[in-house]
Amino acid sequence: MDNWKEVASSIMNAFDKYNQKKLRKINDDLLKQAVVSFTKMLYQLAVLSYVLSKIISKPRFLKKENEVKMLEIEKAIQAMIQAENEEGALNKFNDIFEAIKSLEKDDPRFLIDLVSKGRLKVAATAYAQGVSLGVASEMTSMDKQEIMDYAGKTMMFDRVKEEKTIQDRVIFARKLIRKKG
Amino acid sequence: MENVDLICDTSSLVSLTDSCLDNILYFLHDRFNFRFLIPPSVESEAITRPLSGGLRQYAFSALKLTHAMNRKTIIRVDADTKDEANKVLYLTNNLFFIKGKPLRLVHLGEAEMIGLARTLNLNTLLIDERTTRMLIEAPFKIKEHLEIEFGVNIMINKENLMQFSEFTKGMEIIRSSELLILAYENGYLDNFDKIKTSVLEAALNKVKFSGCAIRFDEIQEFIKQIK
Repeated sequence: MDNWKEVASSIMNAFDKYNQKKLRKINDDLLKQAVVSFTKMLYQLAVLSYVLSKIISKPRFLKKENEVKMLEIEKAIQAMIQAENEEGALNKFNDIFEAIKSLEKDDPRFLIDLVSKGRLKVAATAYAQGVSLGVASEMTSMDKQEIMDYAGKTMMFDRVKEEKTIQDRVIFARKLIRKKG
Repeated sequence: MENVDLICDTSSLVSLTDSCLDNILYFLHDRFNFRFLIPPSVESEAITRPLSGGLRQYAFSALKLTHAMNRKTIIRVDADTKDEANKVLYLTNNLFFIKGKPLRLVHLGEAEMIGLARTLNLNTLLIDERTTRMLIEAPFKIKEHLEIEFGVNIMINKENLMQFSEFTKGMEIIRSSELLILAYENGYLDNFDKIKTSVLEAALNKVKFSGCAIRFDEIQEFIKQIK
C-alpha cells in the first residue's frame, strides 16, 4: 500500500478532532479497497479507523480519568506513522491495539473487546460486499461462526434479491424424498 | 433403502446447530436416509477449531456435530478433490474484474465442497452462505450486487463463466431453511399442535439470525402460503 502514511495520518487527525464521521468515511473507503486488493496494511488501518470511531462515540472513554490512556493510544499511532517502512509500521499495530485494550480493561462491558469487534465488522462488511464467507474469514482471521453470527443480525441478506425463490427450493427439496418413495 | 446424499458446507451446519435445530439432521436421516456429507475442511472449521482453539461460544455446536458424526448422520468424505477444487478456485477468482484486477471471491474450503460434489457426482448441496450459492445459481446477480457496492463497472470473463457454469451444471442448492421446511412438512413440529406454523415461522427467523442467507420477505411469503 503506497499511501499508508497519508491514510494513517488522516486517521490520526480525525481521532484528534473527535471526528467520527471522517473516521467512518475512511473506514468505508478502506473496506472497499481491501476487497479489491487486500493487504495487511489496508486491513489493519480499516480495523483501526473503525475502533477509533467507536472510542470517540462513547462518552465514558472521553472522561478525564482516561486522558492518559487516550494519550497512550495517540502516541502508539504516532509511532506507527513515523515507522521507516510499511513492515515497521505493521509491527507497531500490536502496541496500538494493546493501548486500546488497556482503555477498556477497567470497565469491560462486553465479552468481545473493541479490537475484535473491529475485525469482525471488517469481515462482515467484506462478506456483505460480495466476497464469500471463507474469503472474509481468511482475510480477517475471524471464524466463520463469528461472522455468521454478526451477519445474521444485520439486513445484508435482505438487500439482495436472488433469482431462486424459497418455493423453488422447497419444491426441489420435496423431490429428494419423493425420489425415494 | 436408497440414501439421500447432500454435500454440506460449514455455514449450514453452523446455522442449524446455533439455532438448536440440529435434530432435523437425525429426523431426516432416520426417516428418509438422508446423509450429510462433508469434506475435511468443514470438519476442521465446524468441529476441530472450536474445540481445540478455545472458541467457547461455539464448543456446544461443535460437540453436537461431533455426536452427529459419531452417529454417521454427518459423514466426512476424504475423496481427492484437489484438481477439481483448484479448477473451481481458478475459475471463480478470475470471473469478475474491477479496473482490470480479478476479484477474489471464493475460498479453498468452498471450492473443495463444489469439487467434492463433482467428484462424487452428487448434485444436491446444502449451503447457507450467500456468495458461493449465487455464483452457482445466478452469477450475473452477484455482478450486479458488486457494481452497486463498488459503484463501478465490473467486467466479466465469459470464458471462465462458461466453464464454471458447465462445471456446476445440474447442481441444486438448498439452505437450512428448506431443510427445516421439509422436516416440518413431514411431522417434525407436530408436537406443537395448533401453533406448529407459528413455531416454523419463528424457527425460520432463528436460522436467519444465525446466519442463514434468507430474506425476511421469503419467510413471510412461505408462511402466508401455508397459513
